[in-house]
Amino acid sequence: MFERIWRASLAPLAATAAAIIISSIALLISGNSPVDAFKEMWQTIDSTESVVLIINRAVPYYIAGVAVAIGFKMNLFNIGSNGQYLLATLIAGWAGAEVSLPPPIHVAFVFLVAVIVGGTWALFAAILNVTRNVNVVIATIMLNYIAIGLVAFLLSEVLADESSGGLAKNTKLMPASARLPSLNRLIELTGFNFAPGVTLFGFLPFAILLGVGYHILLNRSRFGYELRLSGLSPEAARSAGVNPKRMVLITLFMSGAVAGMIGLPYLLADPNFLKYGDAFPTTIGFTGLGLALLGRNSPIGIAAAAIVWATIERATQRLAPIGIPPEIGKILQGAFLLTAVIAYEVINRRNAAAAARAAAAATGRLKLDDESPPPPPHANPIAGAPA
Amino acid sequence: MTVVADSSAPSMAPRTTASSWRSSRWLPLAAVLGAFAILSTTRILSDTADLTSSGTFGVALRTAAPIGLAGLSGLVAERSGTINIGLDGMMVLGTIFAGWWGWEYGPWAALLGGIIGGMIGGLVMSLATTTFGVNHIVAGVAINLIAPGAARFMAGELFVDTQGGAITTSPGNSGSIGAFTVPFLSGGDLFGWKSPDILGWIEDHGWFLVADLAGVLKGMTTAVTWDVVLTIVVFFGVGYLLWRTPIGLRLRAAGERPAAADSLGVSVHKMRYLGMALSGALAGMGGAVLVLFSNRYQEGQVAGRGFLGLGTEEQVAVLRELEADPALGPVFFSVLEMTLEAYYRDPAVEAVVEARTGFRSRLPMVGTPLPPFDPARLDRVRALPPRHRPA
Repeated sequence: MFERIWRASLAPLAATAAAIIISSIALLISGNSPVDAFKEMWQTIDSTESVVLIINRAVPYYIAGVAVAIGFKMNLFNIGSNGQYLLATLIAGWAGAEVSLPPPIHVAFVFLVAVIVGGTWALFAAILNVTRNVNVVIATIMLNYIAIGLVAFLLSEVLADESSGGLAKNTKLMPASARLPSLNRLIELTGFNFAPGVTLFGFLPFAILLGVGYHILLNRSRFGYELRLSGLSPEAARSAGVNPKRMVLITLFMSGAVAGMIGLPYLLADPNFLKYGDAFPTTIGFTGLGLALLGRNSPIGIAAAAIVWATIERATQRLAPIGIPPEIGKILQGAFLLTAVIAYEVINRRNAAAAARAAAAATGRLKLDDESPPPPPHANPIAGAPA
Repeated sequence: MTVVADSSAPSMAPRTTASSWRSSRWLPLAAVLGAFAILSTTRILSDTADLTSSGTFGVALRTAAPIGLAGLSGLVAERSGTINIGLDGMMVLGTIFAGWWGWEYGPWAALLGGIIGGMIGGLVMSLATTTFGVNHIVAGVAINLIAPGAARFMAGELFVDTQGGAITTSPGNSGSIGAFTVPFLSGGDLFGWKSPDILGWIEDHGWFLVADLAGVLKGMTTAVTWDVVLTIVVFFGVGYLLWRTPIGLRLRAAGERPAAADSLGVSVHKMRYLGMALSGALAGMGGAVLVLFSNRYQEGQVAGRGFLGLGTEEQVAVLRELEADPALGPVFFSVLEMTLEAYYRDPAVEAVVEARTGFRSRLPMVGTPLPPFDPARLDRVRALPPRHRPA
């Protein structure tokens, strides 16, 4: 058990150390003190308020990570989650404000619209792939641009709330029946009190449910087995009777459907938004790609990665006043991502080499060169995909 | 791996003979001529001479150069066996180095700086993909994340507190790179003698189709800046390198059939490093061409945006011109609004707003069409008491 945890956390720990060293070097080169910078960062996140803000910010990141992880599991790279969530949030925001329903049904309705829109947008790429053999990466990337243009057009010409006036365009505010209550009450029941003005958004339970559902679907269902099989060996999957086209269609739809939920925490629970508009965050889908890779496609891993991401963003917010460029946060994130994926790969190879040695020792027939890792997979450019 | 297409598959597919008209080499030419006829007709019917003027196509060439270089960068990477998702980030690295060196040492240094900046990005990515076997898309996404952060960080260190510089923009290149006009065709100088301007003469006559073609050709042969000339040379050079030299063959073999290349003694690792260095250099050069176009580094200029791509002085000059002409009033106001909006969308301004208020003012996307200007809003401003108006 402990060894498992140690193995799982070795790569992230190495990556954290490397990222801190790299950003410290960047700080030193620019004549700033890394010690001051990290001290200030620690002081910024060292409060209840910060913890709540970090969780609120991490939830959409986490959903974005899960959305692409579903595709990654069968080597389907859904790079289009960004367009899927923008379009889904806009349409769900508009539809949600147009109807009046009793509270739980209203929330469910918004969910349903977002999921269907996001999934359908991803389905276009799947259909192109299945019928015309168009590369999924290219199709989903390109659909992003179409979605961005479509959202801009719909927002400014069709779905905007005309009554608000002014330059900024947005959909109508979500009616009270479609809002998720904050979780402060629930937390306060445990005897813990929040500072005034701090709200833990009510979307958190849904995100946890999503993670549990993802885990069960993937590891405890027939569909999940077929999905993982298709990812590990398309040939084996095919000969075992898995229909590859059907798998592409369903998996991309599901990935898009989850991507459709990325914007919902803001739409349903964040009092600063409760509508889709000009100020809405627009790049969470792309962030999700990195987080799925960092989290190795496991729900707990992605949650940890999302929290790290949100923590870095929160921590660097107050660096500017003490004269340290807050851009160090981006360097920290990028270095962390790059070193983490490298560390995973290195550890994978060492494990594979150790397994080969163990097998050789067990059979006693083969003599393997001790230090040589297995040759890197050259044949396919996207080999070494996260399993 | 059925879903993600193998990069070598399309090039290996035999050309279909059934659809011979599709692969006919005359079709593209016919399509271009057809498009020209449409453009030409539109020019005459709508009386918009600028549609096919040499000026329009001169700018088009300059705008196309960075895009072309980015495409070439992707091609080299793909041929050598790496899918270069990170070329956007490499381009950003190119712009920051070009802005820095262009400011310190002049325009040619800017070009060199861009190439080196992009190359660094390419080598870092190759370190991850080739040496450590990291998934190409993963490594590319990481590069795209790091590069803008690194660029901003460098800009903060280099340009802040300099004359005309800020965290989002370099102080401007010292000197301009110069341009070249082809003699005889477009009237360039030949050893101090001004040659006749044949294409210009044809263009001025406004004949259907012929004048339009002349306009396009003149645009591509008049005052072409040296960086664009170099871009064209690079295009032919890369083509020659990849398909006519032994090293090009090795490079392509490392991408298409690495096992075969390996068995013939070609170091696949070395070739992939070389390919990524070249790919990064090309992307970085694309960034440098952008910097030379707007004469300075500007954050987010890789996304390229018309008016906003101009330098501050040019913007002010354009605004003054527009303001002076009453007929151009509406244009003035919409440009003013664009400028204001660009200011509020500037990441530096957004960062200050977010730091002070905790509110993220990030707007949904660059390039959202602006709503039409509403003159009633000006009246509202006029109706305000004088103390609300700046002096």
